Amino acid sequence: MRLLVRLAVKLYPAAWRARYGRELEALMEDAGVSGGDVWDLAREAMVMQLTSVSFAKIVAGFTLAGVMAAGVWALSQTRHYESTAVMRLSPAEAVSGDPDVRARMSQRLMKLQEVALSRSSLAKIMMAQNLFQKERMEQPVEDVIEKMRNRSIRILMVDASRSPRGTLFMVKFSAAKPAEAQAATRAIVAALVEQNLAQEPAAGAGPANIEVLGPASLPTEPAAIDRAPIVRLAGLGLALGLAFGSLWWMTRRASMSLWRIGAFAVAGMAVGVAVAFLMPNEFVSTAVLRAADGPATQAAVRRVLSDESVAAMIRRQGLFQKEVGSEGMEAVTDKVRNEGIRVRTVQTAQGMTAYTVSFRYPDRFTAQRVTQDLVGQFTGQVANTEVLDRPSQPVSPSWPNRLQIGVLGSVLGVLLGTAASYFGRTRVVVA
Amino acid sequence: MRDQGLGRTLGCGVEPEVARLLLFALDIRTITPYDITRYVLIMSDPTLLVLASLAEGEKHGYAMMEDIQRFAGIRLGPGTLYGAISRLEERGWIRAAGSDDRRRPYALTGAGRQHLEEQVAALGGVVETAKRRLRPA
Repeated sequence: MRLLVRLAVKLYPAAWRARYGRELEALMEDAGVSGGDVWDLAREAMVMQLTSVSFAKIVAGFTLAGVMAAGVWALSQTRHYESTAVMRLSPAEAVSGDPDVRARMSQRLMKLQEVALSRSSLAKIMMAQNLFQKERMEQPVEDVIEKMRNRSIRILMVDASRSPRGTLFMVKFSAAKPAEAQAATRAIVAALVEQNLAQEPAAGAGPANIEVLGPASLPTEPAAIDRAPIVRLAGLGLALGLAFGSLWWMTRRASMSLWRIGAFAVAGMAVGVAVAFLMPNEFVSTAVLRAADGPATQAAVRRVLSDESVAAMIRRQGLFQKEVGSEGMEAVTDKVRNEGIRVRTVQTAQGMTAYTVSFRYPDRFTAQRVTQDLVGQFTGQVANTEVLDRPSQPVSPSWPNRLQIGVLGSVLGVLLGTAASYFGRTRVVVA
Repeated sequence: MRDQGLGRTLGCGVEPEVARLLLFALDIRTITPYDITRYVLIMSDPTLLVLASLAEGEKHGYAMMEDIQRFAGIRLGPGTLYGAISRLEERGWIRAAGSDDRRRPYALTGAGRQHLEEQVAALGGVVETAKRRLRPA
């Protein structure tokens, strides 16, 4: 019993123990201790710990909550298996000393992807392999295909120095079951090979051989869970702890209602998160070009961004079809030019001028395809244009940053709550 | 003004918003919700018992425990008693009256006596109201 009492007393805050500990001991010596008293001590210690908040406790509490939320998130994630195939695209007729071979093959790969990963091709693969059964029952097929393109398929370039003869790349597909992932990877590889055979040699690209260096693997271990959200959640907990801790400290000094501020902050966060989840994803694909002739490039930029050119590209790439129908081509052209396309001038490390061309769109493959189109327009109009970085395939959406919006909502809530608390208190005093 | 009075009467960190919520939740019309809320909150707080014990004069922890058991029939556990003592001392309603750090006596302060008088008056009003309404017509 004495041990239990000692343990229960240890639960009290240190400052409280220093002030009342000896008196409490004396009381228990005089009155005797029962099992109920141990519970009474432990319960009161808990109440005291919870009610005597401090900056450190708030920070520790929020951080712990963030870590726990990250743990729950990690456990709730469906483990995915990723199958990988390694392929090489090289010219059918080896041309010795051709420095542009890799660039030409990359260009051809883009063309192959365009068709092999098109909506109709992916729909065929999805039906043939019976993928995403559950999702297909709950969502429109178009949405499932978009998710498949944006989340399940990855085509990654391998270090060019390892394949001097052509373009080495990996096709990856992640699914809930290993066999499903392997079958889908095989189907995508087959679609790329089929397209290579079917496609007419592109202008300047010539015929090409496509080889499967490593067939689609059967994954045995689930792919590692993305650690970024876990770190982000734990960091968010720490940041919120610091913010609320500081707020608590300030409100304590200014005698404001922490409850009211907290309620506004929670409401602000809820609204922020809800709004963030209602926003569609947007992917940005970027390419970097370098042209020797500056004035000619500037003129090309103006031509590429002219009404006629942008409208032609919208029609060619089938962009924003719904909006074109409802708002008209003129409005969509403005939208694409002002919000979708971005051309910026940058200085390279060597002191030369380069141009970044990027395009923002809800579908990552379309974003890449359109950027490729824009790059093609620039290279076609300005002589001696060098593509320093090919149009990237965006992996994660650049917008909306849901975490940022949620935090912003909380901050606004805190500000509103502080104002409400201040004015509310003033009103009571006046009354 | 009523909210301010309620906040002051409760005096234990209960926000007027919380008190208003309780008033709404109780929704009793025969005895005013204001009286009921005050009565419930006073009775659930052992600090009133400690104040009542110290109204007689200085006492240390064990003496308070014995006294409360005698006049209220409630044995406060050591945690509950010292939790109440620390809260009352923090609010300035009682003060340590001796230097012995093991059996330190406590005494009621002027503010504590005033607070106790207010509580007793409020409690008396509730008891009188209840008695009058329970009387057969």
